[in-house]
Amino acid sequence: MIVDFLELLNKVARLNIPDYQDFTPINNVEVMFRDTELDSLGVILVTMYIAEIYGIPENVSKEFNPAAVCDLISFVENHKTRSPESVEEAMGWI
Amino acid sequence: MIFLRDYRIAYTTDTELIDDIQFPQQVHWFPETYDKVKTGLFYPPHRMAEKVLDSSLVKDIRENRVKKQAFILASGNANFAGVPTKHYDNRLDYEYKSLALSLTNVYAGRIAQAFGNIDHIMTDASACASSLKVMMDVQTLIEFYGFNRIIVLSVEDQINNAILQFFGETGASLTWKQEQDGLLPSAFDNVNGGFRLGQGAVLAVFEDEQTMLSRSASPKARLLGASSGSEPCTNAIGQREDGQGFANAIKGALHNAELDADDIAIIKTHGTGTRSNNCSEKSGIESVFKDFIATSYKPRIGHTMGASGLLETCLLIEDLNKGIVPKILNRSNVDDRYLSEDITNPGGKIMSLAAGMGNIYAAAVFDVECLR
Repeated sequence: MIVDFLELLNKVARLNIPDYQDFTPINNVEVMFRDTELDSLGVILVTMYIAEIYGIPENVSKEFNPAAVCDLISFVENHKTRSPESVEEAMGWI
Repeated sequence: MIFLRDYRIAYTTDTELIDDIQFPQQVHWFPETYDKVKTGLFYPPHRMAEKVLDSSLVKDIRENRVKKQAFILASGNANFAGVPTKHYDNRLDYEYKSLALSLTNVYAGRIAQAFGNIDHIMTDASACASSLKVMMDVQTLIEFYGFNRIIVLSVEDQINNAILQFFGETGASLTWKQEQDGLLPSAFDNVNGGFRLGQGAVLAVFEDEQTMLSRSASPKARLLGASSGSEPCTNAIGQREDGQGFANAIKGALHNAELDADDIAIIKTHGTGTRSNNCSEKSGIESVFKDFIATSYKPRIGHTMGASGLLETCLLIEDLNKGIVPKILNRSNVDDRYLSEDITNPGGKIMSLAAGMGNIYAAAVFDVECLR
């Protein structure tokens, strides 16, 4: 991927965690989502945002529930229809 | 005893004209809560909620645990996240990609977790009476079920195409055309009247006496009693002219507070300013009270729907602490009951009123004086 996926993921995750809640940035692709501050709905939302950014159709992304960050990366690699040039560009798409 | 320990409110007196719809209207809103809503990934009501979910207050609640704590999301309408429509092509035209997150009770469950141990979660969808109607639940939970703290979050966003269309069409909200013709938002007035829609939110923390006394902070008010009421009516979106629903709620709240009508000095009305509410609320109030002063905040901040009852009560508490009872904006004649001018706070207890579609009425009695 062109962009730093972890940087993008952390920005998207932060969007899903309200300001009053702490968020420790994810720094490893092996991290399991259950070990982050995202709850199960948060993971669904993050997946939806990432799918939107990479142009993955809703009917595909709705069926996917990643356990670890690397699952999400593989999913994006397999289904993406577009790629942002930068994290800034990606955030502008959602 | 039940205390309103602290609260946070979000509202705006600023207005903006939404003119690319069938019934152009001015609204009191936070446009930033609508940024990118068309992607279906952002929810304006959630963003409104975050305006009052102050991290210091959330942290304080989480760190000062109590034995039994409840969370109430009073969201006014069953579909908390609003009504997605496809009628017009503007930024209010949004839908949701995650249905689960648009559901009131799912959102309530998520937010409740932020406050630590929660023993009871409930939601209320009593339309515009919602946030005040749950005062009865606050009283019940604390007095009969032994809860020590009740956290009430009330937020609703009804600035969307379907609602603007509905209210514009039925003449409930003021259209831009009416405003250009000189009509101004007001209440209980023979010339001006009607409301603009508004976004609003309130987070309020109620505690029992024991919990309150164990803290150093001073409370904002005491909740003395509350009740909801209804009335026989053939029109579920209408109100009886004789104000029976309002009167029933008022009498119930007085009964639960163990007070007489003479004990109430100030009434925060629902005060939408529609012909129907003017008639109904005035009849209800005057069937119970003889000596009172009344105000309305809706001409000032718009109709914040489900959040309005409690949000406006907090605004009145702030005004009373500043020493005034504010006038109802845009009154066209001198009136010393339904105030046409600001007056000095006379002291005394507050009766807050709210009404919601579905023939739902709510009343709650608060006391600020006793804390001085």
